[in-house]
Amino acid sequence: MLQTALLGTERHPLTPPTADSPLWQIWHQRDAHQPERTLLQLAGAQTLYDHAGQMATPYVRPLPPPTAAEAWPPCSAEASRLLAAMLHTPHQEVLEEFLELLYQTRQRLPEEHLPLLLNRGRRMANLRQRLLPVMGNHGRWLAQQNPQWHYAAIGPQDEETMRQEWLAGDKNSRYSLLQQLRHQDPAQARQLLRQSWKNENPTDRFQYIRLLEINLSMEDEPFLEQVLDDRNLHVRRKAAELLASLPTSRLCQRMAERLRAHVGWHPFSRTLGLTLPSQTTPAMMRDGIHNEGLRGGLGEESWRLAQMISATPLSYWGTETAAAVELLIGTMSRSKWSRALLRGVATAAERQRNATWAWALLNQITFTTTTERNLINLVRQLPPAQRETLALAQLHTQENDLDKLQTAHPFMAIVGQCQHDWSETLSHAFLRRLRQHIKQDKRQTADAALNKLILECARRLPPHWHDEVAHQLVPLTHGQPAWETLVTTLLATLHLRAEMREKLTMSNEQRAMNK
Amino acid sequence: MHWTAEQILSLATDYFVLEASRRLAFADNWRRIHVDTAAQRLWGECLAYSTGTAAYTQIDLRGPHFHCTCNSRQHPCKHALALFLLFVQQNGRFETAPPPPWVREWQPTPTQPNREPQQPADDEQRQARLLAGLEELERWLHDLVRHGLAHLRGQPATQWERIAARMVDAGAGNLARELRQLATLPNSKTQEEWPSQLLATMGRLQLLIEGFRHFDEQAADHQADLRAAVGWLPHPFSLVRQPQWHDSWSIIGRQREQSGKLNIQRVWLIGQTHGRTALLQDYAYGDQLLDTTLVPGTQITADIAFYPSASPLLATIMRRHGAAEPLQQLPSHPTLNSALAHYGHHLAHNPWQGVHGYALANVRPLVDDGRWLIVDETHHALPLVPRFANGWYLLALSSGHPLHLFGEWDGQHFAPLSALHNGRWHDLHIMRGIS
Repeated sequence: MLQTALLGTERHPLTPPTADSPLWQIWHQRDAHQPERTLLQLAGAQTLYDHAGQMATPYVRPLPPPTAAEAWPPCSAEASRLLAAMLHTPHQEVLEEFLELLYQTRQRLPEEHLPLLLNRGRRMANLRQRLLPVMGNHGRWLAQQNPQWHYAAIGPQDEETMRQEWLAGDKNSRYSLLQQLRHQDPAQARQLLRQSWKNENPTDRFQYIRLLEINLSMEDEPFLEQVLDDRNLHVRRKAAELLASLPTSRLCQRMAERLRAHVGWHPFSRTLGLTLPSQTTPAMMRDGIHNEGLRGGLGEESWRLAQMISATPLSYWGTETAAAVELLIGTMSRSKWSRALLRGVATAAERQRNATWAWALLNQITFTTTTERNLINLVRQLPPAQRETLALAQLHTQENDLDKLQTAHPFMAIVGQCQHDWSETLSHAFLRRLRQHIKQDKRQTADAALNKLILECARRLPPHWHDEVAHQLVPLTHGQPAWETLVTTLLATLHLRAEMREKLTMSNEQRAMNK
Repeated sequence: MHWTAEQILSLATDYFVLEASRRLAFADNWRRIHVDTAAQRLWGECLAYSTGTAAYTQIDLRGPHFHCTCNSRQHPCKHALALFLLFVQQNGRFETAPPPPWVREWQPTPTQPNREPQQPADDEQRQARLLAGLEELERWLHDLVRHGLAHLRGQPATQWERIAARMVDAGAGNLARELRQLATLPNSKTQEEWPSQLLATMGRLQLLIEGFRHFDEQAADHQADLRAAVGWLPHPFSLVRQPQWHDSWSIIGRQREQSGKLNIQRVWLIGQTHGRTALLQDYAYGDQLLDTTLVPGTQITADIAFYPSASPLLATIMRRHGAAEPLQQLPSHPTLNSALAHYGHHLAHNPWQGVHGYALANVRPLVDDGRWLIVDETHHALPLVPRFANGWYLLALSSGHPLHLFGEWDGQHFAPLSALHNGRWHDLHIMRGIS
């Protein structure tokens, strides 16, 4: 029938239905001069017949088993509604805080929001790490149904299943399996990787070895030490870099030995005597020292020295000299080779997550001498209170400098790292500074970086300050549309956060009462 | 009635309005938000409109009816929905006040048919005009199949437009819409099976033409169904002579379509005592407003009259008693085949009304090789509409457990419109799909 319709009745004659077909009667009563009419009659009858007689077909495959019982209850309907508002509006930055609060109050995400969040988690690593603990069995169940959400489908499993998945999976799913497992059970992840290590190609080896950065510990040291002899240069270098972050690793000890031959301490003059390493021995190369790449303006030999220092435990300096950290940094910055020395210890402080050294370095180096990246990396090693102290110091030094609230200024870098709930002191100081800025601002527009900062501080200011902030800032923004929009957004975010806390903790108390 | 955010958001005409209204539903975006409980009015000024002037928005809660000074073509607009949301969520921020003149001035127009019937058009004349049009349509259809449907690929849609315009003249608006939809089929990139779809609809039109050829030999109910199929319905006022079905009616699904400048809304109701299904169709042309007073997920007590039919489905509300209540229960079919058996029965009486709404109890959605299915308790399955956008959302709701689903069945695919799960109502047609 379809054939005739496609080619046309004038080209392709209609085949009659069989005599036992229900269409036979129509065929039987047809007008032979009007094959078009017959065709359409048959088609219409056939369609009606099909639709009216349509039955549900037996489904023989097993249905996916329903989700297991949940340990945590879903958050309240009100909290869920707030979450919907966040998912559908520019308030997405508050989303992470919401998930964090859910975790703290031991509640899980309501089912209806899982698809959107699982989709976002594919691309946003920050979101993913907060999503996984609060999505519950429902989330894991759902992720198992959609290959694109594989990253969330991995649950607590027995070792054998895990091993099968690791050996059989495709590239992406193996990567997300290892990544996820590294978060949950670092030792098991390393075991899996070790088993198949010899059969992996260099690109994969490099991808996987990078994942050991997650929850890196001395447990990983023996394996990484072996990898120093890998055939691939990038894999070797990455292993050396990871080992350099573990001060008690054999690599760090070897490096300290090497350094001892080049550094001498004169206790009376309190100066460092230095000889630069003149060549790179094969043993040094094995430990990751190389001559290539960006040296940041250092000569070949001083670059070698800087690399050695950056892989030496920072405790080395105390043991060798018995001098305080501040004193050492002072000495280093007066040395002829100050750039190599400071660069070396800054990288070491960053790798070894040493807050004492980071704090001392940040206080003694003027920021113009460190690149912004270095600065940020050092600030990251500090506890929140110290980050705030630095930010406040920056705010106080040049009260009336309008340019301070602009892109390149170190203050922006430091305050950008204050990613915790700000103390009242910092909040007050920042608001005061912002008031001044708006008052003096003649261009009526905010700098792009300031714009970003204000939206970010909306996540850090105490949420119950909504009215206070409104009182302080709103009168200043009249007649300045750009500022008005910005402050409205700031207020809306504060409001949302206050409401979020109220809704999430309230339902928690109610649950406690019900128990 | 205690309104919920879900009910309010289900009034949004599309996803973008919904998203925008959520964004605006924060008190910082509003100025002077007031309520008058006695008059059932709320109003406010939304700052997020244009610089220099605010949007003046108000709501009559008795409908609800909405009014706003913005120039949005959507009704209700984002401001109206946002104000409503704000009222439900942060009642405390609304101050009680007497309505100012700009609020008193607006009176919502009632949407119930309480006008006197127009002069009845001359039925005979109209029938003659219709028959002449159908004859022309038949010739045109025959030409198409004589030359073959394969020729249509790559052809412009103008010939379809011409015959559709002819159907409008003949008073067969429904057929005109159907033809305009068909016009896009042959050149569509996503519809692989367009020839069979096209042939099926053309066959249906042929049978309709045959039906009109034997119009006078048929019973009155069948005549009414034939006329309804082309878009010729008796005036709602004439339904006073029909039986009135007094019941508590669950409003369980709403579907909106656009055809040119015409907006069409289908609202499905199920009577809780009688278990009858009623379909309320509403048309709005251009700037006219669609009825917003029927909110899915609620139930109303009302007298409903059905248009004459051999299998009555199209209906209109004659009288409403009291305000809407949250939906309590949903009389549903226990198995898929029970719903399909009803559909076969319905089609046998009225083959022209091919879309029927069904509430299905305890079905599980699942994805099988990229296709969406629902499976009932007896392990029978039906396919959902191709490229169903809300499958993941539905799957998340069920999490492998059965849920209650309402949707439209067209003989081939089931199109879910809403779900009832753990006592909560979920409007599916407004959710943003996920691939």
